[in-house]
Amino acid sequence: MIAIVDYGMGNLMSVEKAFTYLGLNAKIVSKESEIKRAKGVVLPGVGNFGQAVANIKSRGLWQAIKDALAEKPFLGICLGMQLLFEGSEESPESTGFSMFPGRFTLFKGDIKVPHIGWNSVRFIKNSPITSGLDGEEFFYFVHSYKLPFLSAYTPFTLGVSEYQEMFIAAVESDNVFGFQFHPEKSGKKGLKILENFGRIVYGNICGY
Amino acid sequence: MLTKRIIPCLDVKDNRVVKGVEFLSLRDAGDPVELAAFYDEAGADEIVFLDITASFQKRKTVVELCRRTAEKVFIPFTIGGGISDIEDIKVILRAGADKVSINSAAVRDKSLIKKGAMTFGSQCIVVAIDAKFNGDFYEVYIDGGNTPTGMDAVSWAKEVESLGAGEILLTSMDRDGTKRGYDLELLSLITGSVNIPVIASGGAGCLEHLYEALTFGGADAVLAASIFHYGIYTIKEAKKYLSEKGVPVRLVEI
Repeated sequence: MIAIVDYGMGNLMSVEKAFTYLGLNAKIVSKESEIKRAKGVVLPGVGNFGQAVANIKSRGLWQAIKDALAEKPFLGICLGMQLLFEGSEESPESTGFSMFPGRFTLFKGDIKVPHIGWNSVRFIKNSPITSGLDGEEFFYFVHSYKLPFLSAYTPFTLGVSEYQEMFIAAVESDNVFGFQFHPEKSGKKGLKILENFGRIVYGNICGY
Repeated sequence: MLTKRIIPCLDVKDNRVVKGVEFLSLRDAGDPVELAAFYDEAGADEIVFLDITASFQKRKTVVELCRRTAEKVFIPFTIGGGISDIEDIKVILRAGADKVSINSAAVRDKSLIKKGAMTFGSQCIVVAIDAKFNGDFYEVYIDGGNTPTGMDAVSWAKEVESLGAGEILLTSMDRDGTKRGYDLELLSLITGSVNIPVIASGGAGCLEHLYEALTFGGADAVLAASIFHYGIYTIKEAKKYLSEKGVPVRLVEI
């Protein structure tokens, strides 16, 4: 089973429906024991960084998520990807899972914030999670904070996008994948990513 | 690059599409969910449902529409029509919609925009503004265009932005249904006054109109109904046309 972690931040139903549509067994869960039992874990979420950290801790899910990051196929979406990093300008007092180094900063300048809509993502390396996708594809974004792309320091970068400046749109490190955009709202290309994640979880992707 | 969006709008009543839709390929073109899934497949960037169900069953039918749509449609969708309080917003978002579009209720109770944005985030609060030129200024109308408010659309647009609206869905009542093109003057006035995305609505009759709204009008997205529903143009044709004229759009292979 793929566990979609419910920690009270945003609507998780579309993620669950997308997996169901793909014929993959996924369930919205809110208990530590369910995360421990799962073969793969999805951390979605929309909203405030500090609130998310507080919710995960107050619900007693922090350690189970941290363990899952170390050992299971793991997918962070939007805020769920941001939480894999050290922190965010949005809530300077809060610390994320620090799986990846870096802090998110607010989009600034003469642009509309949040960054909402379809933007192109360039994948800068191959990965089983993007199998079947082209080197550049469009995905649906909704976010106000971003991680600037500094190539020399970010070997975990899987994909980049541009909104006034280059920022990191996708990350990968062994079993952990993170997307700033919403695969569950990005039509066929987004579904492909979720399907690939399902294959990674259920272990039938060639050569992985 | 962030792209300009094309958004088909479906008018729905009692879970059926109201305006006739002529797609022979669809089993049931009157089913809003099937039609939305068709547009997802065809390359639409989002879907807007305008639900005009009037019965006391309304909330139940809208929730049902959201649930069924969320099972089959994997692009963002918005529900508008008759949303009156924070409970309506909560129920609709929980049922799977990505955004709600508020119109009359936002005028009657401005705090609804603020409450909605604080509770659920600006990104899911769209304020719909229906405007009509009264010889002096563009006036905001509510109640499906029946009640003039005396409010200037430009100042209302600025106010909804400051209250936390994430987007404005701007309909020109003068142009709606005319196929004469979007009201570019109204559109420019609004897009020049706010720093949130503006969706142009009302008057699309051909692809050039979409182009004008997205360039001269400064719109971030165009809403259209009849030009797509009647199969005059496909979404793909519209995107190809816009792309050739240099407008950034999400091209889709079908």
